[in-house]
Amino acid sequence: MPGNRYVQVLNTYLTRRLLMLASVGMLAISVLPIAVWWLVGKAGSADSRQSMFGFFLAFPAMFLGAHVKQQLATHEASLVPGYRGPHLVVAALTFLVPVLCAFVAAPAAGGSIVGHASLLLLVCLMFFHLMAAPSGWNGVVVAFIYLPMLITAFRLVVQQVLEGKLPGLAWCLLSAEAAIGVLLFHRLANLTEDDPSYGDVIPMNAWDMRAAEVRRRNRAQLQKSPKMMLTLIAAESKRLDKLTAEPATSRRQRVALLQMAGDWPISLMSVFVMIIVMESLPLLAPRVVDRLNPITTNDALAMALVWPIMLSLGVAWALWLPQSQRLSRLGYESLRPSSRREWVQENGLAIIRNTLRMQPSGWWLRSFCCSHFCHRSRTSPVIVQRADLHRRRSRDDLRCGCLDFIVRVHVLEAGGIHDGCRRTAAGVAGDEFLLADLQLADSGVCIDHGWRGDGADMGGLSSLVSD
Amino acid sequence: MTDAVIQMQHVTRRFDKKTVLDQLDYTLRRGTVTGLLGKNGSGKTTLLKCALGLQTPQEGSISVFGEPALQLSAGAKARLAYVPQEVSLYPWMKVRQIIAYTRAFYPRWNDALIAKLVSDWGLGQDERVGTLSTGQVQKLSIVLALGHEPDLLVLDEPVASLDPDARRKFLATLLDVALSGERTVLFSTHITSDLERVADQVAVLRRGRIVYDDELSLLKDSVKRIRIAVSGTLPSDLESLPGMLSCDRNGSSAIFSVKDFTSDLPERLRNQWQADVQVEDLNLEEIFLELHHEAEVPDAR
Amino acid sequence: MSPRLLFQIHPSSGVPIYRQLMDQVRTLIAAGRLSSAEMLPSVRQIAEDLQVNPMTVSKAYSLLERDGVLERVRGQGMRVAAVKESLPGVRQRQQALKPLLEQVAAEAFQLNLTRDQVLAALNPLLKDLRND
Repeated sequence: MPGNRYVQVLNTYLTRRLLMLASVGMLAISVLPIAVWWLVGKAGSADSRQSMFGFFLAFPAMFLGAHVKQQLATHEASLVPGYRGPHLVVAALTFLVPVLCAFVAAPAAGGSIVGHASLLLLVCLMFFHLMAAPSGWNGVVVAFIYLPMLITAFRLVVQQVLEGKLPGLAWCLLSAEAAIGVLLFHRLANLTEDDPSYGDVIPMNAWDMRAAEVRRRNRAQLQKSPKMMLTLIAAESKRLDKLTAEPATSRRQRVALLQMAGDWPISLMSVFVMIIVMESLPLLAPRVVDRLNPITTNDALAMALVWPIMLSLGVAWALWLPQSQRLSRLGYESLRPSSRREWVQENGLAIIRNTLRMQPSGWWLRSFCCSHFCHRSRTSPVIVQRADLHRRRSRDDLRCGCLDFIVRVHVLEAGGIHDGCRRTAAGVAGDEFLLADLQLADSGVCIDHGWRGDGADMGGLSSLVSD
Repeated sequence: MTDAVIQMQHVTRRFDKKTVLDQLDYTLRRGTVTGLLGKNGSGKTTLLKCALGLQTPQEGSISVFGEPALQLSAGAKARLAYVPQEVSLYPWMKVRQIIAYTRAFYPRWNDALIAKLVSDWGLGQDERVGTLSTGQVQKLSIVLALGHEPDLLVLDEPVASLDPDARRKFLATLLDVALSGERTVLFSTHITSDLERVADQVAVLRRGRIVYDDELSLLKDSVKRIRIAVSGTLPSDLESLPGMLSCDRNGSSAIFSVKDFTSDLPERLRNQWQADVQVEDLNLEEIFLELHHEAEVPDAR
Repeated sequence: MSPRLLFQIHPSSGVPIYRQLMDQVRTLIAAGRLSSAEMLPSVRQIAEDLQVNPMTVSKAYSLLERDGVLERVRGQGMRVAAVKESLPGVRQRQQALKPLLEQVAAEAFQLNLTRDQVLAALNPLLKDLRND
């Protein structure tokens, strides 16, 4: 039934071969290990389950969001009878994929189906939203994805939801997702040009790029830009006025002009500002939350590796963006009076100078990231999951600076040597050992930095210490 | 009498398996205003881009001002201007800034002319390019192309999104260019009425080749529609007349068009078949359709 | 005189613009609106005012010069050639009427009218004309 509208809509997915391949590939990556565990009959560690969990589903969800937006932010959506319905229904049906994944993954990993489904749907919905209805909340969405990576407490919650230990939260999440999904689809079903996000169609290939460009032009987007953006443009405008006050007779002047060539030359700076904000957030955040949620060794090592790479990617992207925007007009610009050699050289120099302009601060940030997290990885404390009072220490055992109590500690993650704390027993995840074995110079530090657990235990230990 | 500004010889340009330009020969003569006519997808844009060295043909040679198109010197580039069909300018710049930006790259620039054009064409100096409509952007890109007073002006569908007023102003500007000496204009279009006013030469691109390239008035003189009626039945060899483009016969009368019309043809036909012969003049649009008539037959290639 | 008052150009008509100009110059002379030795507007003026290609205008002028209708004055432009009689020759005036008559003939052909029928229709319209 090739005439069926639903079949035709489905075809718009199936015919985007590259995206289909990528989506299926991502899906396979996330499902394959689970399938292997299931076959072998042995689940992976909690960490490995968590790290790949949902992560790869985010990409297909993003593709889906962009695809649906491209279909609905069009005049056809308003003018062709019966257009929106099938498009939205097919899009909504694709959300069955994460639910199906939950049915496969949960039994294999020995967790709860509801827990898996709630989190998988959350990831998919967030990334779908990111592309389909971009807004100021996008930053929050991205930050939300980072949270489990950064804050151990968050990770514990995620893990407990997956294991089915927090069924209430899982159901709450599911109902919240359903509500958000309905709202989002309602918004898409009524999308008109008046919607401020109408023109934000994220291009995924050259064809989209063209459509997006035309739309951007029509929308007079600049007038709707936030004030801050206009201020940044004004600064760049001033520089341009100064540069163009006299004809560019020297190579230096021409290169300076070429450095400004881009749809948003200011994007170089503003994107960079954004990166700094994005980067410094996780840099600063742990310092604040450290007192409650210490970063573990693994966290710190991962971040020491991941953040500099993220930063490099961000810088590379910021450099690549204006060039890619220029591609469409490069031919036209190549007809300016300069020989081909000069043209290539001057453009090359402009790119190099832009790169250099961004590098020093980039390197500074990268080295700061590295040193900060490396330092933390050496100094991170033992993360304690639970502590029980073992026995009160006898007066004979009393040592100067030691606690009065021996506590049985369930270690979640092993730590490094903490400032002011000489560790004598290396804890391994899942181990139990006696807190009394730790030589503590300042018991307060230990509690602030090393203590993890629920409130009752925490209170218990605090009272023990203050005793 | 006039020398060549652009010379294309045996140019072949293929995209995958599709041959867009097929052993094309074309010479653009100095001091002419030439309209390049062709159907949608006939390769007009490809021809213009190849002519300026923006695309590399698989075969053939192209020269602009006597220099190879792919390695134009700075001097040659300073003498030419190109307005692409889909213009994209830097959206964050203001109109006066994009003008200043473009001006900075050229050794000479006519500020007075540009200021006049900008105000004539109703472009606000302080408007941001990103907020202009498609038509305004097109106007702006034409203005930008005129600042350095190029000897060769190449425009790809320049009037496609202009309103009638702007189109008239554009044509007037083109005529100014044509009147100011030895300057050459080559523009592609499928709006024949504009071409008829300003062009003195017309080149017709069809199936990858230039099938006609001469004066516009000669084209109008040589392509005619003829109505013929005889008392008996029409001779069967009517279709074999030289230069026959299309023929529609109906018993004793027929309407046909020829591309090699000479003033003695009606008289000859009258004498040959004792026929009543009427000659009709065709405007460019009709000529264009007649020249493409045989395309209705599936492409043999 | 402004070219726009003198000439009316229809670029989309089948008649090439240079022939339209030639026909109209002939008509103007025949009608006496352009008198002998009167200067015609310059090529540039016509091209700008009527928005037509200057080459087209100069082609029309050159052909009219060849036909002896106009003559070139060095450094000043074109003027109407001197004619012997006060009124232009019969042939010249007939020539001016020819484009219109051609149109009549074409229309008549389309309407499937015979020669006599056309002449019969034309005759009453000609009653104001002088007889020889």
